[in-house]
Amino acid sequence: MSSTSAQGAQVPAALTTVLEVEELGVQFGSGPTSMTVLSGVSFSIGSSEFVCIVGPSGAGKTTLVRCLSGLTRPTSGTVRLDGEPVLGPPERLALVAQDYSRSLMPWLRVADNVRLPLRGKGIPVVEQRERIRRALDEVGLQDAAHLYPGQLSGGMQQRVSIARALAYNPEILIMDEPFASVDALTRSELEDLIHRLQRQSKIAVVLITHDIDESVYLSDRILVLGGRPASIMHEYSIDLGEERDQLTTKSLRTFAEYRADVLRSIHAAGAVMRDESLT
Amino acid sequence: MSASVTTVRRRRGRWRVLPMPALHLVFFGIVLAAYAAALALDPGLLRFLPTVPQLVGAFGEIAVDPEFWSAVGATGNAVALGLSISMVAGSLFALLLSIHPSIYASFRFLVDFLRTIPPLALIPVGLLLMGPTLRMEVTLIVASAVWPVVLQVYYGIVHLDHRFIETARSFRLGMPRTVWFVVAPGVAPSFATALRLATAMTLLLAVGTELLAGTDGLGFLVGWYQQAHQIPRMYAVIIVVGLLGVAINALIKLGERRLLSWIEVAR
Repeated sequence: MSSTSAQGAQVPAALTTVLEVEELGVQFGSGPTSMTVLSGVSFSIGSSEFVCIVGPSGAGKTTLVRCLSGLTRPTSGTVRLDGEPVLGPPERLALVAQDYSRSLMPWLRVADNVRLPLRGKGIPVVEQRERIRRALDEVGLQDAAHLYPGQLSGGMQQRVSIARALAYNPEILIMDEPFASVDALTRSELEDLIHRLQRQSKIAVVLITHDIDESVYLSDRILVLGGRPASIMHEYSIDLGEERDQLTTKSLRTFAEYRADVLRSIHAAGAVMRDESLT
Repeated sequence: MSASVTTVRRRRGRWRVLPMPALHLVFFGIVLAAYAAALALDPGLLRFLPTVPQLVGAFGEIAVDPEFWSAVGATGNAVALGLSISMVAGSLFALLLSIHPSIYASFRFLVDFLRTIPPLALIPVGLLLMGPTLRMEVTLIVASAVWPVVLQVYYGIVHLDHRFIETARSFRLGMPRTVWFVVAPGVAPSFATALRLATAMTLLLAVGTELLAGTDGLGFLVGWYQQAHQIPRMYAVIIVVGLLGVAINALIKLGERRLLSWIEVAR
């Protein structure tokens, strides 16, 4: 089990680097009331890698997502996508947010929601339609194209936002607690869906979560975010094979070991946060 | 799964046995019968209320009177002009206010002051400045109907969840498309509310101005028939004013059903 107390977690040698984060720092406000949320965050994501970033709540996971997706400019450090510095939302990056009800447009039908990011990109209408059809097919919502998001369950709505991200044809997919607002059964269903889609399409996925089981189940690699200000405190390579299954994978001995390891380091990260807040 | 996808929320109210228009007609009949019964029970009412046949007769008379139709045209014209100017100007002003909180803060007092002036109190001012003209009537309509539009649309813009706009930004949608596909539909429900409020205000001001300042229109006819002691005709014109409001409301509803059907399922 490779656990490095990593500053600058590295991409496995066989993969090319897609996303590169270097000494990222974010500070809100200035002067005595300022708060440093992230400091010295460094890691890389390889092509076709599935990486989960795990951390206690309040660790700065959402701030990190906003920096990765170009919605917030970091105070220091850089984010690079394919070697290009990220200064705004990049072209080949798609974001799936936690709150699907505020990310899908309730006034657009499902197909139009999936089409929205394709607009104004010079994509011919025929190809747009084809991409929409294929994306909805892949998430199993081919029959829902003409419905409004409000007519779908939470899990289905989140599948629509996954379809929208897929149709956008990204090389990296950033997911911010994507399954946190759905029930447990739907959650495992969506986990399997995103795992299957990632294996098929070979795009890189960065999934932010506070759920340790979820992170071990899905990841090739886990980065633990913690401390105050937060940085990457641990890195775990998860070697559970390509095929994963809710029953068999989760009852493996190695799964339990990974789980315990990650849990321990999250507790450690939480403890660091508490100690520092006392001073 | 496809079965649950097609399960669309079913309509409430299984007690509804008749189609809507038929229900309206039945209710209208009941009201008319009650009215006739009241007149029969207390003939003293006949001094200032017309009988049903008198009322029907008055409708027949005004229907062939070109003066009535030109009054309908004048009021309709003023309402259309006043309403559309109020909606456009109010929305633009709301857009201006929403650019920055400090703009809103500095205009807030002025808006509150202007919108609390009872609109009818402005009629003498209008008369003084412009005389009994269409321009004066439209000015008065706009001066009072524009405020509910400003406030509704402003709150619609400000309360639009920023995450919608952020989503558009993360997909590099660009400014014009974000406005067209995200901001405009997001503000549309508030715009519809503004339209309803402004319609009520507009009708009130149009008829009020015509009645009190003597500009052409249905309000003027109401006063005219009252002074000429043609009481059934006076009532007939009042009812026409009411029907005008109902017609405008029906148009708004039709537009909402076409454009805002998503609201019913978005919850």
